[in-house]
Amino acid sequence: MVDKKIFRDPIYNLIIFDKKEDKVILDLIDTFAFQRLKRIRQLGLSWITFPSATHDRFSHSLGVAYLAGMYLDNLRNVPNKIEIIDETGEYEINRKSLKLLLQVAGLLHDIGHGPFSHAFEKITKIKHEQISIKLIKSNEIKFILDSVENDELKGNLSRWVVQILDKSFSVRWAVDVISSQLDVDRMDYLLRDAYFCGVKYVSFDWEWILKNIMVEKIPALGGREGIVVNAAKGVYSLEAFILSRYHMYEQVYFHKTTRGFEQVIAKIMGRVNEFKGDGLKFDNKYYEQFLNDNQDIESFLMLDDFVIISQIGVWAKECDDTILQELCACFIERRPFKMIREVTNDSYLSPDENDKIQRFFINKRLDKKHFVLYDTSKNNPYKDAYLEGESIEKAENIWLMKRDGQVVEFKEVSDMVKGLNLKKTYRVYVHNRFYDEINQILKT
Amino acid sequence: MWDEYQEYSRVISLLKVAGEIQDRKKLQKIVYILQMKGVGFNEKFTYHYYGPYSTELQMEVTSLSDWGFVSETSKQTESNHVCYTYSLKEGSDYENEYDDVQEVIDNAEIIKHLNSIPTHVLELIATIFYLKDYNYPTDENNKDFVRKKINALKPNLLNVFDEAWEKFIEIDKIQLKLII
Repeated sequence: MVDKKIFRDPIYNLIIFDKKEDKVILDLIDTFAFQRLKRIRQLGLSWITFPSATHDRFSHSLGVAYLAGMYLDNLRNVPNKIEIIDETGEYEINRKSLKLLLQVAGLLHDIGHGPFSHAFEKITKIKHEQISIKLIKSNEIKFILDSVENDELKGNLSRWVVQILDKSFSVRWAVDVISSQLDVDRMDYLLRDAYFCGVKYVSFDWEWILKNIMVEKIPALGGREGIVVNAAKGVYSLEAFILSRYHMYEQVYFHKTTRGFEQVIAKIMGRVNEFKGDGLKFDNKYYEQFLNDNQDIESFLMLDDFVIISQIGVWAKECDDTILQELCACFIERRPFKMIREVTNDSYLSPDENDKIQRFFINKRLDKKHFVLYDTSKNNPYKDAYLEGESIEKAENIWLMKRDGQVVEFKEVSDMVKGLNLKKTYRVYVHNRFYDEINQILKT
Repeated sequence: MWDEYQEYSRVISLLKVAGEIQDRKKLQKIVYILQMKGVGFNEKFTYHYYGPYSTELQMEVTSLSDWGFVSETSKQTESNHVCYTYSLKEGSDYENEYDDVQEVIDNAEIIKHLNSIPTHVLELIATIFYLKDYNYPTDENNKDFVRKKINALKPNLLNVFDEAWEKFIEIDKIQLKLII
């Protein structure tokens, strides 16, 4: 096996790349930008609630690259020659080249993630997808990609990877492999997150799903080709997949304590962004540099979970801004904001309740926005659009082919999915210092 | 600073200005284009089959509808497509619950203009804005380049490309009243 590079993996056992044929993948893994993903946790702050959820985006990205290869190995009805049209011309590549292209896209799909990505993106207004694309177009990675030892991909690989990630690639079903309701990203993170959180009842037969997928025209989408599953053979494993999403969503991704802390991090980042020019001391100059220039990729690459948490630890002890100090202390000393309200399908608080809370903080000469958090599933980065019912765009379905050859949406063949609906849950948290008083006020 | 309530307030202000928005797709594209023009909508959009789409935005609208502030009515069109129409619900207490977002109110003119454009043309305009957001060249000299991208992305809408392109150029140049 000297010609193979082997990674041990708790989900797939062994992830194997050929040192010659997959050299581009191995070269990408060795880059600074990719190695940095070892310092960014896949689940942000879930380790606060699930202590073993410390897996990182590095292992997830390897897993996605591996699954993308398996997907292509099993996908039926893939033509011998795949036509690609873009602004530079028309091309034809074979299945093997497409497989490598999708594996690389899978490997790099998260390379632009920052620490505590969701909060980071909300505050800095930079999307990780755009940073990923910037990194792919950067000198080091672009050179590796375009020097690939594959005649069909040489000179084109970086451009096509960008197109897959920004979804402008002309082969639409290929985009679906990386990003859709049945994509390799989702499959890997569900399996990996469940494993590391210790959620044993979350499991689905991904191998069986991959054995029953094909490229087919989807009449409901105007005849465009997409990924379709054999209904007779695949429906039950798909149901397990959807149920996995449901359970992970309810148990892990929207866990009230984790979400409470994630909102605290968002408050911290927001406060830092507000006061960065006002004498706020940064121990890590790259954090400050990036906040002052969110196009500064070199500084961005120096940011990871450890940098941010370390900085928060310092501010929790020494900070001229008392509000920031208090928020940081809540995080470091594990003093979460406490939930005062959780409702389903109802508004967070009545106007009257909102007034009472507002007056409470005015009397204390404090700004309510620092001490009250609102949360709902729409803020969750792992929101499951599939189960949100009406929030899903019609075209974002999982498609199945029935025995009679008809291609239909999943809900039409699965009674279980018809019955599943995520509740719309709204939560309000307050700083634990004010919990008892506010609770009392709301009761009067 | 990201403020949860503001996200709902912006949607309320948008509907106040627009009066009525026919079609969920249209509402999505209007918000996306406003976001691209610098108006402070914070929802994350990703590229879907009908162009830029935000699940967050849709959930906000659905929540506002559930809470009785927004009216969502649906009807089946001739092509079997379900068309949702959105407006502020008469008699609801939205004025007390949500403040006007001045940045949205001040840009009423462009909102009404976007609302008057047919949905499929707006879809294409939003897609061109998406390409611009991802640093593809979309200035006036690159019409052919953009046409080729649209040919790959949305070949079914090529017949309205010229119309969408003119409107994109016009909208791109408009200066909005923004809060810095």
